Amino acid sequence: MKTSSSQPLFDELIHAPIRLRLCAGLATVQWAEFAQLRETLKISDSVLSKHLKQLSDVGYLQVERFLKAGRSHLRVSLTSKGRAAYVGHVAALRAITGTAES
Amino acid sequence: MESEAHPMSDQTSSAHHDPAQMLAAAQQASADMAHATEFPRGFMLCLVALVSTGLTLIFAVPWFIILCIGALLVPLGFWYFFTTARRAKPRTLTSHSGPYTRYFLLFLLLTQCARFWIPELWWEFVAKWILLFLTLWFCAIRMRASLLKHRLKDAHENII
Repeated sequence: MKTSSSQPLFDELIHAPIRLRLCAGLATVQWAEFAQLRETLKISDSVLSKHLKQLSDVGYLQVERFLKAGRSHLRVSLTSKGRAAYVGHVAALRAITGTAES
Repeated sequence: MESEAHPMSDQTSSAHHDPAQMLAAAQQASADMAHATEFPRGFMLCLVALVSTGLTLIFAVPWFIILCIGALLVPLGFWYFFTTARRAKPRTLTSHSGPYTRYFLLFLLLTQCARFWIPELWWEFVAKWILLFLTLWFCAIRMRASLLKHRLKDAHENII
């Protein structure tokens, strides 16, 4: 696979367990809905909202509101800045743990 | 290695989190999300069984029966649509991995080769169906595994 890898860069904001899992989940998808993230991460609405706000405030996440079947939903995606930060953080964790990239 | 600090970091210091455990947690979260957005196994099983049945009976029974079997793809399509409508949208991959392409080509080759064996006796129908089902299921499972592995690698290493 042709990849554009990032330099290892430890990110304090992403390193918190829930935010790391949130970014890891979003890294595999274009976007995910709020309810899907809540079910995957098995956390409450308020905790997820808090972490989404922290990540979106620094520009790592994009949160969009849209209508589906007449109901309002939230769609969350990683921004390019957020993806670069997450990939850099994973590279930093691998460097710390000495895990070779496969 | 540089470190980037943010004013909104958790109150708990990151030093309290073991990097190896955090890396494992990130990989598990990515794997969970990737699995959740893939084809359901039950759907794949039905699709492979349907293709095997169609290819077993082709040229041996009237076309009307083949068309009836093919019509079963419609409810399968609805199943797929309603299942994926409630899931996150997977990231588009710019290229497929080598193993995925190899198993996909093997899948196509098997479906083409199956047309040359026209069974006449009942046990030949059974043998052809079992052989086709097992080989196609093997290819489908390997394709799915290769795709998931490729998607996880893309998620953790590709910044684009």
